[in-house]
Amino acid sequence: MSNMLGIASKFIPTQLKPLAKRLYYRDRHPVHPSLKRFGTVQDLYYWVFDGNLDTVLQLQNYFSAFFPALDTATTGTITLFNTNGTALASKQFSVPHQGSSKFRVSELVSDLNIPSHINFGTLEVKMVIPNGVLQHVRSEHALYFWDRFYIGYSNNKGQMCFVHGVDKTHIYHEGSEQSVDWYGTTDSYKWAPEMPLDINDYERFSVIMLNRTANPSNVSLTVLDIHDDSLSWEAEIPAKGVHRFELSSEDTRSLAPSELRMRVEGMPTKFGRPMVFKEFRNGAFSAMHC
Amino acid sequence: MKISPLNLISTPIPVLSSLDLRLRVGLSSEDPMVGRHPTEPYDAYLSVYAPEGILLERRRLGQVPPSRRRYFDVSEITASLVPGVDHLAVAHRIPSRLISQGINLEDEIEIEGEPDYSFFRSTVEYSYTEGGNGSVIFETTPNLNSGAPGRSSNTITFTCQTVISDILNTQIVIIHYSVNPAYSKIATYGYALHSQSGDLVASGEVEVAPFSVKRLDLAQIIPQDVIEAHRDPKDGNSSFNFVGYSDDAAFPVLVVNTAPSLGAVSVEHTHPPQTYLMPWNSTYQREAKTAAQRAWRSILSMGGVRS
Repeated sequence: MSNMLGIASKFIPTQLKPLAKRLYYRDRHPVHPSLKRFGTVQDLYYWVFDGNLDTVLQLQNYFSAFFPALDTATTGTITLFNTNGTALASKQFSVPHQGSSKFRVSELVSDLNIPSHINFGTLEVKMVIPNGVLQHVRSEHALYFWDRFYIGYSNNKGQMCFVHGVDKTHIYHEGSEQSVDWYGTTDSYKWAPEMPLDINDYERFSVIMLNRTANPSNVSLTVLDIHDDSLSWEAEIPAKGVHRFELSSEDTRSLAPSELRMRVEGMPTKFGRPMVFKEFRNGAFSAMHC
Repeated sequence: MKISPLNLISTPIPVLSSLDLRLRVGLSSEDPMVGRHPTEPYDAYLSVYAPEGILLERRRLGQVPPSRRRYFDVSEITASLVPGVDHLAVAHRIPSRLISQGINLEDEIEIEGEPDYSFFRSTVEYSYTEGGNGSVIFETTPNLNSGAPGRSSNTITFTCQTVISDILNTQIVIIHYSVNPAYSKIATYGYALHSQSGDLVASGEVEVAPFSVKRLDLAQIIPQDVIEAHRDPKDGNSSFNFVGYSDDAAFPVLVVNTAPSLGAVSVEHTHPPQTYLMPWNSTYQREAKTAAQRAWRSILSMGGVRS
């Protein structure tokens, strides 16, 4: 069906395509059937606090960037989950117009009495659409804001890095605290990260996979060398949970160490691709979405 | 459709020689999404531009065999061409089967249908000698600054990825690239930095030549006393909110956080703002972006506003 629509759209003059799309989707949102009038779309992010690495949230009021002349002061909620996707605790915050709100997960863990043996998991940040913005966009038929913020990580040496969000997990309709799952099903996708992996560069190389769906997912990571020799690891990631594949040169000693390539199978969502965490012998670290 | 083979799969890459960062580009011969294109060999090329945006050289890097990843050392190539100065390089991948047909890289070729090489990105990796590396993965967006009739190019950037301390500094790197080799627009990029409490702490404008890069060194742009006044006593870091805009061009923007004394670097790109908006009416994305640019220009031309 979508293929037929694609073919049909080629015959519509460019300037009329938006109108044709509005007519076709007159009773529903073209992006997702669960989107109604106004709201936000949030994703799960990986958090870690292990005595060396910490997670830093510098939550920018992104509404101010779009509407700098309005009063965009607002409030929000941070919720921490464990690796199984179980909510641990939440924290309310406010964020001024053009401002931001900063949190370290190490402090949240302490303030919210999260057991100290839990040292990684996922988190969600939900910023409320400011009243001024909501009034400003009321004339739109429907509009959702997808918050794709950059999460920060730091280490004991004082270094920091940032990683952007890649996917979607929850829909929040304006005025409701209850979320709606973005993904109705748990699928099984493959991903072939483009990054060449020189494993000897790293003291520890972690591949982090999140499951943004409501069902467990079996995910495998395969690392192949230039001779096509390979090693594989598997994990069941709980619903809304996270798994960390941790590799070192010792773990992959049967492979040629340079220009390794990774392959992920069983990825539960199409764009829920892995994040890699690179820790170096000199104490530096960095992270990247694949 | 007709397309330059150089624009099939490419990534514009800032060479940050003035920061003493080594640069490698990592390329793959596989479709990251698996299934749209069978793996095949790709020929890799590098276009090297002078700081002013003049194409100095286009060099074949080598081949990426099927089902392989390869790193290419860009710094090694550019060090002799443009020593010690920031400039633009562009990594290109072209299926080797097209090269074997004897095509001219500079000429457009006829390709059946619209080739979907979306997500065919390059790994851009910076590192300090004997230090760690930081990498980011991205590609040239289709029709970037093509100047084609009916296509406007503009930018809104916003990010929280700023951190200044005794050991850390943030570089905002603006990339001015076009898929059209005849593109010649010098574009203006305005920016503002606000404190966490929402106060405007710095603003400015820079001109960016086509096929060049511009680096904003936040420790130089934000007055030292402001950095000190906003230092977090718990970690010694000062963080600010960055917004940038341009009516002239679409700028991919990277944020490079460096800690040279630790031999540490990290890098991340910023998202195009339209990806934050999911309107029912898709034209709203462009309208909202244009309105935001207009508002920022107006606010900053009046010296900014305080919360």
